[in-house]
Formats: sequence, C-alpha cells, structure tokens
Amino acid sequence: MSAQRTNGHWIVWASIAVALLLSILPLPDWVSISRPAWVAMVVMYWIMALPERFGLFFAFVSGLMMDVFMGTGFGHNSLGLLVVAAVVLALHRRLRMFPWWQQAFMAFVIIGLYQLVNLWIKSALGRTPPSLWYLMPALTSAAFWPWLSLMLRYLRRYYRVR
Amino acid sequence: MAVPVQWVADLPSRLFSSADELVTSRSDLMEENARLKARNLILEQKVQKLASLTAQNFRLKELLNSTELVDEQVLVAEIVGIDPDPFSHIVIINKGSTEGVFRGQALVDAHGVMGQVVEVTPLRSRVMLVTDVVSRVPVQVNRSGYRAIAAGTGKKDSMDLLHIPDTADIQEGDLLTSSGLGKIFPVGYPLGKVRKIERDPGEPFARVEVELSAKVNTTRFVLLVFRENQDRGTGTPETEKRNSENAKTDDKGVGNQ
Repeated sequence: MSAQRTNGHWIVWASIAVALLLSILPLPDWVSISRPAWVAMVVMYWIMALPERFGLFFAFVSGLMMDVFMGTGFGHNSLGLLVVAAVVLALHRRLRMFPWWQQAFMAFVIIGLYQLVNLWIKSALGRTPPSLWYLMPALTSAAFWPWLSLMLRYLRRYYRVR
Repeated sequence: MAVPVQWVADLPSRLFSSADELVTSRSDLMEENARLKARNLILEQKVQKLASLTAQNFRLKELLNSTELVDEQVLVAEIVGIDPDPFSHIVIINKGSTEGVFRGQALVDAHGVMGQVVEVTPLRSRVMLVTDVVSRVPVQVNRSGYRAIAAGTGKKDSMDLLHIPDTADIQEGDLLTSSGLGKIFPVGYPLGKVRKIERDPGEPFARVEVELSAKVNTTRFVLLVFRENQDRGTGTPETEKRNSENAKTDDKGVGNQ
C-alpha cells in the first residue's frame, strides 16, 4: 500500500489540550496529590496507536506546552515525556496485544518512570517531596488507563485519525 | 498565552464560589453586616490612636536620625490560581508587570508576611508562599531582638527556624517579625509565633517551630508591598539564599556571646 495521507490530526491536539486543562484544574490538596498524569497518558496512547505518525517530537512538543501551562522550567516535562515516548515506541507492538489489565499495569510502570524522571529534576532543583506520595499519580493513571484508551480509540475510529 | 487556559481551568471553582455568594441567605447577610460594623468600629478606634502613634514614632525616629520610611505603599491583588504541583506552595495573582509588580517583591496579608513574587508576566504573577520548602525569611524575635532564618517545611501552616543554638534567647510564644535583612521582606511585619521548641542534647541545634500569623491558605486578597529604596532586580531568591548564608554566621556570633 502506498503512503497514507494524514487525517484528523486535530483530534490528537485537541485531546492534548483537554489533558493539559485537566492537569492544571485547581483541585483540593488530597485530590491534587493523586491527580493522574493526563498528558503523559494521552501521549502514550497516540504513540501506541500511530507510532509512524507520532513519536519523540510529538512528546517533546507536548512537554513544552505542559511547561508553559504549569510554569515549570522549559524542558522539565519534556524530558519525562521523551522517556515515556521512547519506552512506548519500543514496546508498542507488545502493548497493543496486551489485555486491558496488563496494559493498565504497563501504564503504571511507564507513568511511574515518568514521575521518577520528574522527581530527579525536582530534587536537582532543590525541591524534594517529603514522601513517596509522588508515585500516587502512577496508581491513579493505571486505574484510569482502560477508560481513557477506550475513549481515545473510539475517537480515533470515529474521526479516522491516521 | 497560558492566561486564557488558566482562566478556563479556574472557571469551575469560580462558578461555585459565585453561586455560593448568590444563595447566601438574608439573615446570614444581616448577621455578617452587624459583625462587620462592630469590627469596623473597633478598627476605627484603633486607627484614631494609630495616627498619633505614627506621628510620635516618626518624631522619635527623627530624633534617632533614622532614615527609614515608616509607611510602605501597597497594591491589593487577588489570588486567582494555585500551582498544580501539590508539593510546591505557589499561587498565581492577578497583578503583573503592567501594574509595576517585580520579581522578589514581598507579599503580605492582613495578618502577616505571606510570600514573595518569583515570576512576573504582564497580567499575572506567580508567588512563592513562605511555607514552600525553598522559601527563607530573615526574622527577628520581637522580645529580645535575636535574629534568625525561618525556613518553609512544606507544611501548610508552620515554618522552622534554622540553626538556633540551645542557648539562644527564644521562648515559646515569642512573636517573630521580619527583620528586613534579606532586602525582600520589609521590616517589622509579623511572621508568626513560636509554637514549640525542642532542645535535644544529641542535636547540634534546637528545633523551633513557628506558627504563621498570615492565613496563607485561606486568604483570597493579598497586598503587594512597594518600598521606596528597594533595589529592583536584585531581590531574587538567590539573594535571599546568600543572605541566609550570612545570617548563619550571624547566628554563630550570637551563640558564642
């Protein structure tokens, strides 16, 4: 088959925008600590679904946008998302085959990795979180993963994102 | 560029609070009105005394050849957002460089020192609260004049004093005011009261916990302080850190006396 034309990429950027909005939504402290890593999850999904279209550059740009909205240093979130993208690019064939619970477990591991990279950068800047609570988003992300991937798959099929 | 998105993100909480205002009952309002009137009366009475006291203070300072300003100019700002990172105590206020806000500017509320500006955009600024783990405030014990550095711990209502020797003249209940030595926080604003002192012989320094007087987590309106002779541009967290280094040596000096 010849090279396909791209189609419906706006839905990808729209999903990133919604994820950004969700990640800066003001929430009470106890919810905020376990806020899922929305942007990282959305980046994960699109790279898994369309690895020939979205890759490291996509992750990098999403990370920069996240930095702008969260007021962190430029590149702070990009680095973590690049790690996520690299892992998902390497594993995407296997990830697609996994049943939902195994995918959720992989989401836990990958988002945990992302949180860890963030923690390294933060401690290099002198802000060390007081406890292991910073891994909480990995758990909640894993819990939200099946629903998020179902929803994004529906959107991808409906708008024929290629 | 981020401003409209932040505005949208803040919309739900804003809607809730405005709905809350709309449905406040009449009796509640009347009660609040009465309470505010009483409070206003008390405040007015205090202000009457204040005028004469300020004049007196000013005359006395003149006698002492002090060149310091008695009054600072302030600008009222509203907190319009908080940092999404739960481990950093940073809020966003609705005043920016167009209103003359600058990096390193001090922020107070009606009760005491609250934080400092760390980032300025034309319409918004980000403010690091004093309770943030990287925040330091140079303070002075009001009773004895003992100088120290208060450090944020990441807890929401308290700070710790750094490098306090066991022999330092400091007691539970002492009022701590900003000493102005860091050139960020103006002199004389209350920071808080000493809540607890632990003197462990096995530790090199005493552990002093400060209860903040500013209502850091409940205030919505804050005051930005302008000072005449503040050197704009040097008041950065780096300066603050350098000052804390200096004050450490200060502490030792006092401890040896």
